[in-house]
Amino acid sequence: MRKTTKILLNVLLVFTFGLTAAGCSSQSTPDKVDSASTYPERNIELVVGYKPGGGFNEWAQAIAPFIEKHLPNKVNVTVRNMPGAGGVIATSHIQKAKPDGYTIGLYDVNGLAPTQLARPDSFDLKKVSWLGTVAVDNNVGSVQAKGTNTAENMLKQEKPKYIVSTRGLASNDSIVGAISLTEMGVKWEPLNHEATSEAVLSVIRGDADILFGSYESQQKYIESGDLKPAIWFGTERNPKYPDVPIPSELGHPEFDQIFDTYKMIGAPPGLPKDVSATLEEAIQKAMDDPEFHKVLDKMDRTPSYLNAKETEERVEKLLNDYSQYTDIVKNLFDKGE
Amino acid sequence: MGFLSQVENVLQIDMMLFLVAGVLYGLIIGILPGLGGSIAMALLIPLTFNLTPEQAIVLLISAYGASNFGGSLTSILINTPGDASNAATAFDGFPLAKKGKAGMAIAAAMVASALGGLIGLIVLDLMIPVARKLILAFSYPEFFMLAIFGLTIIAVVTTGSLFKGLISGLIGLMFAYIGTDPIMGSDRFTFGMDYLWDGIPLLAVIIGMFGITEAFSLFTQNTAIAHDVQVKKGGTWLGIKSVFQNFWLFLRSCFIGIYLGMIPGVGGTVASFMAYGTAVQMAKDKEKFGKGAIEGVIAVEAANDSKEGGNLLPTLAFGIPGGASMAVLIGGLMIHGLTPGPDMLTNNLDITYFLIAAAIVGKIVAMLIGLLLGPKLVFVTKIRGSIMAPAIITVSLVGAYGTDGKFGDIMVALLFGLIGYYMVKYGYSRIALIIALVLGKLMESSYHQTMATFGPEGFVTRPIALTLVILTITSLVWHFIKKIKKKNQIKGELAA
Repeated sequence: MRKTTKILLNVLLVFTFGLTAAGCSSQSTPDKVDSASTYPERNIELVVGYKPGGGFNEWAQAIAPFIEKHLPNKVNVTVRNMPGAGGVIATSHIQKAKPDGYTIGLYDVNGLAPTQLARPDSFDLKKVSWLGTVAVDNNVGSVQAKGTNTAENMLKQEKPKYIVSTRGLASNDSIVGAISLTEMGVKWEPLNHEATSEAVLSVIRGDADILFGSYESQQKYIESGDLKPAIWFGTERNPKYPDVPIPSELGHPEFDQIFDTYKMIGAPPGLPKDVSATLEEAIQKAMDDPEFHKVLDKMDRTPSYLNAKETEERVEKLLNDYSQYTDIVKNLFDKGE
Repeated sequence: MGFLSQVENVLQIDMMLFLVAGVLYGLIIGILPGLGGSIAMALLIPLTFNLTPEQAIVLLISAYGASNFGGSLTSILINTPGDASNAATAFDGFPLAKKGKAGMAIAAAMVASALGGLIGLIVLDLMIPVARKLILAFSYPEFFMLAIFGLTIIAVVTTGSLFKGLISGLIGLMFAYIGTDPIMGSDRFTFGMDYLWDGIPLLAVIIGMFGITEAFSLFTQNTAIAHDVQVKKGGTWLGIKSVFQNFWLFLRSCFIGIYLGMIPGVGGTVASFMAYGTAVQMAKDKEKFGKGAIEGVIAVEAANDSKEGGNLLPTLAFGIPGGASMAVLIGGLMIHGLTPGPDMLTNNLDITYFLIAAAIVGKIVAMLIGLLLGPKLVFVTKIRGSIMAPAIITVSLVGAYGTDGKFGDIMVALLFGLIGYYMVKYGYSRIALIIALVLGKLMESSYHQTMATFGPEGFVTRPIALTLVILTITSLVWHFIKKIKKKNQIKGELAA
């Protein structure tokens, strides 16, 4: 009961703070400078390019308190949602922010890489000061659970054309579908939706044939028996779905790995070495923290850590891989015009 | 009525403490223009980390439910909707405030909201066994016909010149097509600005066209909102009574709310506009709407809260959010290891009933608090324009900014404040513009989606779509027949 009262008081407190924060979210009054004035001296903002309610926001909310815990000084790491233009607004905001370590971001690189190739002027992922990767996920193509579509059927082109449920043609999901189906010689057509939820529902209803996306975004629909995986993008089959083929078994080993999706933390270009070292260490310690793993367990999420250097290499590789398929990507954009 | 078994678990002292805290918090968030249920919950989620799943549910769902009450208060009192779905409340709620009947309007809004919410949740409870089938029955042709049906409402709600109403609607459609095109997802009409990729922000437009426009005219006239009338006391009772006097209208609006709330991608804003439109359409005396008809307030508020029940349906049945707020709620539940989806209807059915029970008790508490405090706020309608106008502008702009923290939203709100001011001055319909803005995208995307999947025959071969086609045609034809009849009658009288 005492705990309850305490939490209630907290609720009231936050609600006062929340109101102020909502009113003036540019916030962050510098805290008093500590005598041992090293980084960090004030609150750090973790920018997310999506609204609350999605996977990226969830991860940011979950990891922020643990980065905070492992930083040398006592400052807050607050999550700031800056939705818009599929993450581009947040990304260009970070690109232009001061490289002082007080603005960092959680990047959806798979969505941003193709956008960068198609319109290279608003940001550059190669220039971001990468700090680490918190999650790596496989991609999966899913079909209606009680339907007859399978990867083999699609390769044989049993239907005159397959309808791919997409969420914005510039999104990673659509590009995975576009590249893999086109290269496999399958005739397909996009059916676009504004939100992932509508795209999923369309396959469940049977209006669309297949939907591509990260496993994390489809897991719950697969587990609930509404969707079933038809193709698993990975170097080996998922033991949970032993019947689902991987691209190399369908004759396309080049797709086994290039579509892995990442959640990466980065900072504005030109971040000083000592600051980036402090942040990298805090992220690494957070990722090793058993308490953090407990939180992730509850959320049914799996962490996979890559350090700053590895993260940078992956981004480079990702951009190169995508640029191989520039024609298909461009084609996709051109379809819109 | 499975939720009844869980009501006693909500009526525990610790749960009730969370519930009252959630309700108060939700009310205040709701009063701030621009901040609605989804933001109320998003701010609370980090706090629920240390709570039990049940406590978290009570806190989140009561804050969400109450935010809507707060939103209707500002709609009625200062013509500044708290959230996009409260915008239609202002259509008749504010004219009522101008007539000095704000107290009555507030009371009617509170009661219609609470009872509407209750009916929505009870229907939700009853529909759980058939939920999945029901949701899957709606596809693109139905969405398209819903949008078209909604647009025909423009013809009905515009008083005065039909021509000007159509122009306003077309301008609204033009604004609706700024942003990402629904076929391919590439940007269009954005003038190279990243800001416009997601389209013109609806909420900023609404805040501008109602709140700021109102502030401009208050300022130029320098009078109080209810200036030449006596503000009536004791309107509370009249307001409560009015809901029961219009019980059929109320019930109809509830079902509109539930049905539209149920369909992901259509959303609550559409529901409240549709409810308003059908209220006008089915009323005997259409002329009184927009000038302070209590029926307008009741219809919108009933649909607005009953849609929550509908919204929860896809959330619980598939784990697919019925709207933005539901997406946030799903995130909040997942932190506690509860994955909304079919599991919630089988293994976790108790938790589902608990959630419904918490929402229902929350609504009742919110209504009591709202009825107690709401009518006391009526005094703002007697404050001089030169004091009220700057206050409304400040509150409106903070609200426009607070939604997403974008400076551009402030500019949009101000711009549409000006546009709204001139539209009122020259007799163009703001309501028509907003309805078109809300429905434009849905209409366009569902049209292309239908063509890609069902082809044009989809509109007439699917029973629900066909019903909507027939409804649309009859409502339009009926409207014009009545108009012509009335004209002839007047002519006849003149001749006599």
